[in-house]
Amino acid sequence: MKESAKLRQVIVNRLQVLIGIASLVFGTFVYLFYRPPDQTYFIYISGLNISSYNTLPNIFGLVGNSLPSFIHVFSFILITAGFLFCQKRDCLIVCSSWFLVDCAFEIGQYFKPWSSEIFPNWFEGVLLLENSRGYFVRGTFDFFDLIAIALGTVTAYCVLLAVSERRVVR
Amino acid sequence: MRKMRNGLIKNLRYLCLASVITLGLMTIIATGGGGGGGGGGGRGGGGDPDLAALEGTWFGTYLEGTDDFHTMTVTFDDSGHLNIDTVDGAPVNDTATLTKIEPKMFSFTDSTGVRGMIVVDNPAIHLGWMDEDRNEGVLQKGATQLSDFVVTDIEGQWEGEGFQLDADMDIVLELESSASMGNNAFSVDDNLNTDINGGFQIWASGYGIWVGLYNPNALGESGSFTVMLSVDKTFLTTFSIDNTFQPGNCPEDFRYRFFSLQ
Repeated sequence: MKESAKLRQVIVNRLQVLIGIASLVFGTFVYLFYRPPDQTYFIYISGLNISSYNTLPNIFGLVGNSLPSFIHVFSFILITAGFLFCQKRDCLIVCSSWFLVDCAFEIGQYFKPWSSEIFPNWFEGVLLLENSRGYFVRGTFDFFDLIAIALGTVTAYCVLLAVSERRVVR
Repeated sequence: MRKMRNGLIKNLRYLCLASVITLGLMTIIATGGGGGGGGGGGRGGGGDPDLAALEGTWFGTYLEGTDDFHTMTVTFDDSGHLNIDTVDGAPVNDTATLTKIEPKMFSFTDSTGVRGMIVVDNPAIHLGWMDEDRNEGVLQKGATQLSDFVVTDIEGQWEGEGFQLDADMDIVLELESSASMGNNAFSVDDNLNTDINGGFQIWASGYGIWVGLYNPNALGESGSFTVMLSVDKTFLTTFSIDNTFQPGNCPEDFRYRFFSLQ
């Protein structure tokens, strides 16, 4: 009875969420410093001179090309699992779901003619949605991105297991 | 009271979950693509370094939709406006305004309402262009006259990219391509299953234009293939059209590719 009351108070696993957000911030850093501003929608559309592309040495080398794919799946698995306060089985479901979502977006870039047709015309001119089609048409399918997504998923699952006992109550 | 509180927590959790999923999908889209998707008002225009890089006078050849060959001179300003100065040395007065799609790819609409696309190489020295009236061309910055082309000028390994448009001039297919050209045969490898190979049948020596036929590819397509070489012979633009396409459907029946010599 006491345990049950305690569990009901649990809202999030704050540590998992914080790790997810931290890696998301790191991902933003990668885009700002290592991606040409014209190739990233949120930088391009901001109209602000926030890109610091070419100001730092390329410390990531070729790995940097697929790093965002790793970071995205890793971050959102952590954040989602943290908010859901997942147990081991639920963690697997969260990991699998984000893995499939990220893979679907990557594979969609290979099937450009098909994926470019699935978005309705009213997306055009709507902030963010207008880039849905461009994401697939102008994006480049890369097998290494799929590997990065798989690695990100496995890493996230390991981190979830490692920090699952350190629950933050409230 | 406790029941109500538990329900609230449950709903809050669903809300958080929905927000996280939405944020995750938005993040994917926001970090991809680039180029602004669709060119809404004010996204191109003055101050853009890619448009500014075009500034200067360009010269080269163009192939009219009627299959007539011409030379042309075009002047670009630093903010995406162009003026077609001469065709075959005779003055013309046609203008167009460019909208940036990608750093080296621009769409344009000329003063008569004809829409087209321009692709520029990395140093912004060469460009290939096409429009919906089936006109295609290749231009070189600073050039003033055509070269003395020989049939072997096309030989070599070429790297580039390409696209296919729909009837609304939107890109439906974007290609990364490499090509191996001989004076009799060609082979084009794309990142998709649109590879083609075949042989040249016609060479327009005065203009640096080769026309050939390509064999059935993985998609079962076969058809004609035209190559236009720049004045300095280091850049070329190609377009291919499948025999099975209905005649006259431009641009949607064409694939355009642009290559630099390796």
